[in-house]
Amino acid sequence: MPILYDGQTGQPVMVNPIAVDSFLRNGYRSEPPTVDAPPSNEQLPPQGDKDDSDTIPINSANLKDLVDKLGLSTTQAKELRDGRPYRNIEDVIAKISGVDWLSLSSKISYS
Amino acid sequence: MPNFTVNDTLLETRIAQEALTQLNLMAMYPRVAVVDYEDGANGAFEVGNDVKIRRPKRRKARSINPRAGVNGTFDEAGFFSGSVGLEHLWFDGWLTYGYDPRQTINKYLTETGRQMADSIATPNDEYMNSLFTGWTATTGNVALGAHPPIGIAACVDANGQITKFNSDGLTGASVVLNKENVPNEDRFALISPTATGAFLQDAIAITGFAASTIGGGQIIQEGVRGIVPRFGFGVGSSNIITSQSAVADLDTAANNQATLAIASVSANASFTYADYTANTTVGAVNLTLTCATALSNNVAVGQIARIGTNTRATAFGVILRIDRTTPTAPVVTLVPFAPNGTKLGVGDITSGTDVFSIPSIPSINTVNHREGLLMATRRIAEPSPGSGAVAASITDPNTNLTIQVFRGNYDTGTVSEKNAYYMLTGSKISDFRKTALILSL
Repeated sequence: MPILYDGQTGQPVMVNPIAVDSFLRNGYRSEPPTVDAPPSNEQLPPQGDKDDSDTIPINSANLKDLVDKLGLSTTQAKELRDGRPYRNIEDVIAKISGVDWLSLSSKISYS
Repeated sequence: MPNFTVNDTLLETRIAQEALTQLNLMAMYPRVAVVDYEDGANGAFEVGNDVKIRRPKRRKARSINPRAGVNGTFDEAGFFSGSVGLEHLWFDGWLTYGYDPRQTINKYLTETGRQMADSIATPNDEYMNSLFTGWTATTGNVALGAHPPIGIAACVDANGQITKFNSDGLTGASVVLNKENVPNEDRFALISPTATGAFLQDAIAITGFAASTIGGGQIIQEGVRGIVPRFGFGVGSSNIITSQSAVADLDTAANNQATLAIASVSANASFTYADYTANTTVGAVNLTLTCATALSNNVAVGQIARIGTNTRATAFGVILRIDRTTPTAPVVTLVPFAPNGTKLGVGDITSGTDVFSIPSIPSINTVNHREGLLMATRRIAEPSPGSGAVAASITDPNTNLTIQVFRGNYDTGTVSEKNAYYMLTGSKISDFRKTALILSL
């Protein structure tokens, strides 16, 4: 079963696949916590080694791109824009509800 | 769609009835749960609503002698009350076209009903099974009540390694439940297909005659069909039963370390029983492990740890907490149970001899008393009159399982219409003491 990490304490927790989305919405993370302090807003590192050329930069894309390319409603896109910045998919899940972010995660970059 | 013109409005009802019949046959976990009491037939619910649950408290009669002034007294009936959140609205939908092959109404109903039931039974069983291992990270004091099981019995061989499912697992689970004064009736064990196979092979026919309708002879002939009484449990087979993979390297140091030495063992007072006014600990222990560098992130809360040597399994325990404040001396908290279901203490674990590991466990079979697992189903609002949709909602009075079938939204362009079915449900473990796990291949 997958392991997620408590957002507060960093404790790893074994999670049934059927409950992963619920845990992520409650602040758990898919990566273990890092030792260093998080970077400032101006220096958000991109997540992983994904090629960002085919993805939507969620922290800088305009409303039209968020709506057209992620299939969001205008309200959701505005909510997403207003909640920036995001470092990873867990940040997005924690802030914006009502969207299946896990299925969109491969389309999103954080640069 | 079947070719018929009379009684069109009964089609959805027939589909729902067939689906409910099949669901009652296929679904395992709803059979071993207690269902709610609150009447919801006239209400409309949605995901996130709570449903009241209650069960009677155990009472004890008193001896009275009115002539001597020892009179009977009356008090409240006494119920434990709680609630179950309706967490899932199971849905599936399909299109039916005007040019679908013609078939008899009965065949259509049979196929559709079974398809519907199978679509719902599997994810719902997965959901209810997940409650048995659904731990979260905690800090500080925790009063255990509506939590997953901590009690474990294990089927082990002469070297303390996990082995085929056998009667030791059930008798061990009995020990776990008996220690918590769980009533003897209405106990259930749901085991994996692999465990079911071993269970069948373990059955012993009564010597002297082929008893085809009782005991081992019956299940040798018929297999594990439905719920089979065995060793005080209703045993059922489910392919939803989960497993655990071994953690091959417990230390982040360069070499693979499948086991870690236990430097010390101490009592943990953080985990207590919720329903006792005085803090009564559940008997958790803190294992301080020895790491060259740090404990691997693959060791997690909710996993089942093994404590022992390569020739003896001292104990198994569900990891309740991990403290990595000191990387080379992490502390893992669990409640240790011997394979035979006996809860162990600090003195039963020998630091320096017993080692800690996260083993492979192919079958984490679940055990519960019926009162330990709650389930509620409710109806969502049906389409309003004039919407053009047709709806049927069916509730089984015995299991309270509810299926709703809606049909509508005809598309003249594609000559099709939408069919959808729903089951709004929620479940929870009401009392961790009335549940347990049986480990096996």
